[in-house]
Amino acid sequence: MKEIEIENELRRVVRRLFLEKRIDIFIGFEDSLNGVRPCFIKSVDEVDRLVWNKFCKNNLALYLLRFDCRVGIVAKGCDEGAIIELIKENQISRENLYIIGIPCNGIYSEDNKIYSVCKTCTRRNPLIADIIIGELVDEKDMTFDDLKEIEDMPIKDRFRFWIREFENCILCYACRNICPLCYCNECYLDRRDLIDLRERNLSDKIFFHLSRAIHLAGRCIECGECERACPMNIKLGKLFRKISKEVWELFEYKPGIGIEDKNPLITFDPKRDEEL
Amino acid sequence: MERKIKKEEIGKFLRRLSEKYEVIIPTEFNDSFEFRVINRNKNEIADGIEKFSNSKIPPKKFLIPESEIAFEFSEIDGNAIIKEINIDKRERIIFGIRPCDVNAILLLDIVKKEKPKDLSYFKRRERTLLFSLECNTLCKNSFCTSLGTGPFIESGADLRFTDIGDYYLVKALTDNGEKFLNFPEFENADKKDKILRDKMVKNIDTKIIGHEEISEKLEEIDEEYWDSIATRCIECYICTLLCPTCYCFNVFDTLSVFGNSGHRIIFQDSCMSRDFSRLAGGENPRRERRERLRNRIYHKLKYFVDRYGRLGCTGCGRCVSLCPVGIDMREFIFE
Ligand code: SF4
Ligand code: SF4
Ligand code: SF4
Ligand code: SF4
Repeated sequence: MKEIEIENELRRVVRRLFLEKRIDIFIGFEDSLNGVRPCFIKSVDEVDRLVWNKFCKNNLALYLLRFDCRVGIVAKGCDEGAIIELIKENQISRENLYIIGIPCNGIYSEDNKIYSVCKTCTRRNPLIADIIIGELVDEKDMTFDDLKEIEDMPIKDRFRFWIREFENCILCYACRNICPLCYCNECYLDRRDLIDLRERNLSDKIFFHLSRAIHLAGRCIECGECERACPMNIKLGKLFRKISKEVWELFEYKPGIGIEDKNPLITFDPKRDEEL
Repeated sequence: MERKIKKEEIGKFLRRLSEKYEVIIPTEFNDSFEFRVINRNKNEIADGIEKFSNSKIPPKKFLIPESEIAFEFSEIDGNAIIKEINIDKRERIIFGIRPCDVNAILLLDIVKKEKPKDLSYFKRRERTLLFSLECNTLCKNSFCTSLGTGPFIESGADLRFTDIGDYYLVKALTDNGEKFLNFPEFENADKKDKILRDKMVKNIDTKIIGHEEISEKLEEIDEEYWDSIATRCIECYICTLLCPTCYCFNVFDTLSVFGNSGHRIIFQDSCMSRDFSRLAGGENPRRERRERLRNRIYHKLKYFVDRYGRLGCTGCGRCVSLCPVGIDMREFIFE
């Protein structure tokens, strides 16, 4: 199916959902002066605003937490992965959700370059969607080769590499706020009585990133939103893929796949964990 | 006075300046440009400047640092001792600053002059010279042409550089700027050069919208519209930290473990932060994201106009380009 056909079909399905009164709101993408962006459709008259193309970059799962009604959503592989994690963590319920899954061949930046996380994505097809639009695509084999370049650096250089990345961070919190899995209402990175990052020196910045990395271990679904949101082009995608790799090598676990899968970092299995 | 300088001579000119001044220029960095202090040991100074449109971090960072120590304090034998922090006295030149950002600094000047005057800002500001570079092409998502803040500039900077092909046409806009035109790299400009600039000015379509008109229109926006935009916003600090006219700050003290000495820190804050308007006791007049977002827009497009008679937005387009979820200042102005 061509993009435009998918778009038409998407509008048709959403229109039907509204007419059959199955959803109160639909989360999708619309066009704007400055490219495609998330939008919230409230009624059948607004459905024609919806678009679908390879520039639909945002992970819409983020917005599910903002509605307390029956929601419809269009989901790429990574959006669906995040939805699964949110369901697993009891943040949303599957019943109130209608998922339109669209198999994904990777998304592209405005200058038509594929985003780096898409090159290694192994979760391109919908797994729990209520309906799928478009043909399924081939999944790629899992690889962490893209990390080799950094992993192969001598430790000193590697340290310097990350320091240089974090140095440019302006602590705008966009990477945290856009992450569909960084949903804590009370994040300790905000708690000025616990940890104070306001001096914004290098150690604050490193602390910020390492905290997020640890908190997302076993939960990050490698959607790359953090890297895309970052105004300073900090290589957060690589950081979080490294975390995923560690989790994979230790537990052969990948988040965002099965609703019943148990996150090894928050469950204890005497058999599995004996040697740890 | 108006003279010109060959493009190849710019590096030499800047290097000469850097003997006496701290010279800041747009430097290629991570696929874009950032303003950095010149590295004199490098050969290629200002190479690639032809590709420069504007930096992500506005040059205001040289006047308002991310955070700074305001003073140190300690207690010795029951007396409070306050030690002021010296700000580096060296004079500075910001070369390549775009007209919109010069206008932003002029706005900051007005705000920071209000009582109590921001002394550390003016310590830096008074020793900073602005060498502005006019824009031959408009940057993506900018709307300076509608607000009268670019792409050309008639006052506010000390020197004005205009790309006219093989040369920059350079005009002194202040007495301070005038003396630099005697540097050996400059040649006399003739009528033809000035005509080249005039042509450029004529070719760019500027249609300035009245500032009052913009702030009046803002009142027409209904609640539902604010709601829908705020639902999309992720309340990060990109649009405030990277806006050339945002100046919100906050202060806090840090104490040594013994509690008898410490320092006071001033840091850039953001009105988009949930904590920013929280009062002692937990009350918060801008608790909701919608209220914070609206405050940002109103501050730029209305409160500034009410108070100073001009907009608080220069139309640089940074917040438009960098917002991860496509919240667009232009919609509040043009739609
Ligand atoms: S950390 Fe980054 S890549 Fe991982 S889920 Fe969050 S936004 Fe996506
Ligand atoms: S988005 Fe980028 S600049 Fe902002 S806090 Fe995250 S890493 Fe730092
Ligand atoms: S940059 Fe965009 S998402 Fe972030 S606070 Fe500003 S308007 Fe909201
Ligand atoms: S509000 Fe946006 S466009 Fe206006 S000056 Fe600030 S960053 Fe530039």
